[in-house]
Amino acid sequence: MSAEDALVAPLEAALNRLLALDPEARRDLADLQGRVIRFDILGLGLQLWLVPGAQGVQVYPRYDAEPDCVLRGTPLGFARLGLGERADELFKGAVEIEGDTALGERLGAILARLDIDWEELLSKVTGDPIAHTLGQGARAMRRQLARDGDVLVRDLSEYLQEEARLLPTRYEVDEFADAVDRLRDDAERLAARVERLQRLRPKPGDA
Amino acid sequence: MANERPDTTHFGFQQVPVEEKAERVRQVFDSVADRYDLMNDLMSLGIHRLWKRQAIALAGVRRGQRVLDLAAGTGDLAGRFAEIVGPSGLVVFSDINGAMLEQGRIRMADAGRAGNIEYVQADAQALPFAGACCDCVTMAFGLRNVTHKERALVEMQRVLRPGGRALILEFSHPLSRPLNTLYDLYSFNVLPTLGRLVTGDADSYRYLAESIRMHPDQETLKAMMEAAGFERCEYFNLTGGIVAIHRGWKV
Repeated sequence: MSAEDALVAPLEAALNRLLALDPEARRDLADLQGRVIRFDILGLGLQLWLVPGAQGVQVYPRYDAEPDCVLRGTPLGFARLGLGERADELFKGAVEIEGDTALGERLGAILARLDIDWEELLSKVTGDPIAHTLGQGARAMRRQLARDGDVLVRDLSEYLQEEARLLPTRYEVDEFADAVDRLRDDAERLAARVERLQRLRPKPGDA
Repeated sequence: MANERPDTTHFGFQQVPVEEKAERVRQVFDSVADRYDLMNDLMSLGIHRLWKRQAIALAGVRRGQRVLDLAAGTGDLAGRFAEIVGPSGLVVFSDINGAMLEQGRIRMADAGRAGNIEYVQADAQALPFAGACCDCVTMAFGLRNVTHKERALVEMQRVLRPGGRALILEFSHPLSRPLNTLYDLYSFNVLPTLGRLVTGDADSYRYLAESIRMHPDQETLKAMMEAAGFERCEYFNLTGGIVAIHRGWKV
């Protein structure tokens, strides 16, 4: 299936409306101005070309230039982009990057920060029913991943603290801080005592 | 044309002295400049935006390149090119008509596009640029208004760097007879009426419709590009051949 301009133009407009709300993303995107990035959306056999600019992105169904970078993934793979700060990691696994990988990762990080409703965007190209089915899958996966993510964070901290003993527990940190306080007080008390003893010592010639 | 005397050329369906055509075309565009954009939308039912997108996609311009947009008009192509080439590239926004150029400049400024666009009022038949200075030359809906099309093509070829490409987006000849009939009906009846209602100038839009009929068809224009020194010439029919994009390379 080749996406037609009539379908891709509204998609471009929708992306740019999102970008208009996020000056930071727009600034980051401007660094990638004029680079040519191709998205291969697997399963749908869909290609989209993205050319970032200073004011937004341009999206085309074809672009007659050698891509600087190709991002290849399933719609679900691209949907995982929306998972907040962990998106970088997931993005690497779910979406294959070819060519200038640094460029692909930077673009991925920018897209991840935008709160993109991929179902809504894709529906412009594929029609509602297909996009909705994909969207349901993506939402279920996103919930599962978010849950898995929370569990993972808890398990990981337990491992580092209790098993590997690489990181102290909260209790150990408090203990240590108390000990430091005690040591500081003791040192101060000792200094005061030394000073007092020096004052008490009879000076030569006094006796 | 058989009845064309050597010292006359066509202005729509009329024959006019060669030296008069440019002046007549200028009058047409002076008259329509401030509402040209709205009229384009009405005339093409908004499809001209999609035709222009296809031209951009076929141009395949990238960061840092230099693009010359002839007959830039309201800047639909130039604006997108400026976004793509970025601060390290350059877009030369050129039109022979001062009123159109001024409209385009205002539109670009309103859209916040500045820094990498230069405005040059120039005749496509005698471009004021050094040879081999651009990566891409485009002309959208302009060539049919040029008196000596072959001179403009030679000039486009001259200013291109080796490896550069020229794109000509222009009305052409519909491929099927039914479409052609419908199209004739639209352009000779609906279009001048629209023109009168929107710009108050039916004659200018009658000229536009007539000039489209007089413009060389797909194969003829391709042959003209080859004669001007372009290589690997090809054309892409859009909307059933109502519009075609011709592309040629300088090798």
